[in-house]
Amino acid sequence: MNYDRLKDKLAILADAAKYDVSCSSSGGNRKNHNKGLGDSSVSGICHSYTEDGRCVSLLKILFTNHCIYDCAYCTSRRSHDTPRAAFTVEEVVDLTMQFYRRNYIEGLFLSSGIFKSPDYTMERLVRVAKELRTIHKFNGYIHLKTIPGASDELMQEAGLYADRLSVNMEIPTKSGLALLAPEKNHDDMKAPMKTVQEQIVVFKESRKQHKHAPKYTPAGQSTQFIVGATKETDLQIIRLSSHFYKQYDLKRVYYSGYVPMLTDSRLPAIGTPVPMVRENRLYQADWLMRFYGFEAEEILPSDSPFLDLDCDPKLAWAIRHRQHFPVNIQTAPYKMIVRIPGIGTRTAKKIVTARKFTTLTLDHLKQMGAAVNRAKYFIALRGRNEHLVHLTQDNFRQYILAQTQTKFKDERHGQLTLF
Amino acid sequence: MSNSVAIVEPPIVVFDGSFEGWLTAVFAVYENHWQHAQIISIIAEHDFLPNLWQTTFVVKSDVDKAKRVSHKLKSVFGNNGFRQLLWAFLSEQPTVYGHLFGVVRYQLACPDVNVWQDYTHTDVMPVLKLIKMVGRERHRMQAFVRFEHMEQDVYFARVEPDFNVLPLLSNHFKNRYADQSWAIFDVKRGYGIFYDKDDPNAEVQLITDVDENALVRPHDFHSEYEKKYQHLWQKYFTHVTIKERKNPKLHIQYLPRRYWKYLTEKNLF
Repeated sequence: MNYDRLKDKLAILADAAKYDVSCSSSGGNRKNHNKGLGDSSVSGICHSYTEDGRCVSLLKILFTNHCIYDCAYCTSRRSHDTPRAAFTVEEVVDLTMQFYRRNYIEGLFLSSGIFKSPDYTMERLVRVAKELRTIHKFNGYIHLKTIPGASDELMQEAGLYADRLSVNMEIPTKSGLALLAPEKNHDDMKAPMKTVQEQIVVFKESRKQHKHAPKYTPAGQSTQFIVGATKETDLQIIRLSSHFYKQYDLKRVYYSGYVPMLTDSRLPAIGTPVPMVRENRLYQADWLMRFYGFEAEEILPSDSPFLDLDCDPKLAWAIRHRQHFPVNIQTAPYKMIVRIPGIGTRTAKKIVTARKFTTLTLDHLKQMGAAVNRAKYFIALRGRNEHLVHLTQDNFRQYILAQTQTKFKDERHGQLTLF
Repeated sequence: MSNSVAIVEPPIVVFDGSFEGWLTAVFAVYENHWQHAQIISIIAEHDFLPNLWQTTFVVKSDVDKAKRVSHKLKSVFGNNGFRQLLWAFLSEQPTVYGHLFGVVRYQLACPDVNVWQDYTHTDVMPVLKLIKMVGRERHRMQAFVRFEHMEQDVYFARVEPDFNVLPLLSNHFKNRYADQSWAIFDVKRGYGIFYDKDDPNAEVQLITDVDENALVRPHDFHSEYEKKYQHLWQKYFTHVTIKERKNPKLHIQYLPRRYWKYLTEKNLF
């Protein structure tokens, strides 16, 4: 193995893969059953963090950045003048094994530009996973990209070796995609998701019959949307995510604020700030749908299609629906407790348990991890809660925002420092 | 109350700092009927500063007594609850031993209550907090251990965890690295754990004595390719950063400086 060349390839193909935000290694339950290497941790482990504060859990690389497509938003697009490289199957296998042995990573996230044809590309990705599993007895986490247009046989094989499969939708609207990637369309990208979803159901059924039947992508599927490359609204994004969670049973949808790195009249100019606050608010909205029992329609009313950058979507919902408050924490059901701003799912569970033992006070809530500075305006206690007077006042929103701090203050006022 | 002896303020109970010693201390409190006193102080020897006006009672670790107590505690707390006690104990915080006793006393007095759910209790809450902290440190060690491949075909790592979490890591690493020999050494506490891939019993052993030089200059003992893979990892680490999104504050929040010393990717050479 040519070490210097390998180093160059790694630099090029890690650079090209870094805009894919997914790095999750959770949800896998593969055990070290063969005295081989590796054992998946259900919770996932972030082994390091990049200087932009993102988790490094997997060796995230492209197999190659050669690509037959010319999607405007992608650094690997055909017309982009950039150094190109391709790994060999052997190199990817070796890097994964050696990094894993040193406890650098939880496993491999292998994506790829499309070279020659979808099948040709997919076949190589599958071969990497197959060799890791069968020849090297690797039980760590493997996330593979499914290449739209690849044959069903390859997709089926991929799911047997991978813990997770994903296709990135990237551009949330059909019109946006037509503008930036005229060679692609949404239906072609959704097709492999449907195939994978059907396979998951088939394999689950057969596991009910035979306990030892193989598992198919035990950690499910995910996808990603680029935010801010086209004119899509948050309402469109959230509705689309909800559609994917419900219709395709996706485990995760990721949101990636567009980083301008290419000059193209169809795209935001280079130097346009990355929409990090908006991206964060979308993740908060996503969490509300997945863990807090919110419907997409509740998060944004159809007459205001963008999330409020000044306050988180749960607080925004509470301010719009003051008729539901105050919530009595001593008696209210769990599903109402989690809707109180400043109280997360863990604290809500603790509240429901602890209130059987004692009458809860604001101090107790604080000790249990609630953000009392927000929660105190929305809850009824057994004793008097002096903060409730504000709830019915006209300037409630302004009052609350003035009282609470946001870490995004500088960014909202256009003072984001990048370096 | 008929038993007036129990009301007399008990002495400070001092034990040797081991888990066994603490179990023996719990035994001593009940043996002397001090458990009804409002305040019970149980302090580890190394945290104890003697003074003139407090009486002390020094407990000597006793295997049999410790066994009797752990047996009883397992029966009232269950195995999981007992493990919780041990996790909190490993925090090595001077106040933990007294709070742990408080939790034990509460559970023994109310065997039908799940005391861990009484989040607002004055002893349960601080113990739960410590369990969480120890759990977090354990998780960090699962993440931040960096093995270096040595000439003798052993993957060796140095750590300095905030809490004494090495005993909580054996299983995780044993399951993960079943096909390689490895050792993790706690430089601060002077001991480590070692797994030999050829050991037919596949047991993790305690080691107390390693070559000083390996702790100070591990690269002198590297196998042929070790440095190359370290370089590759560093290369990877640098190239996954999106520089338009750099956020040093967040970086340090997730990857606190005190862990950098042994992180290959933070020691570019």
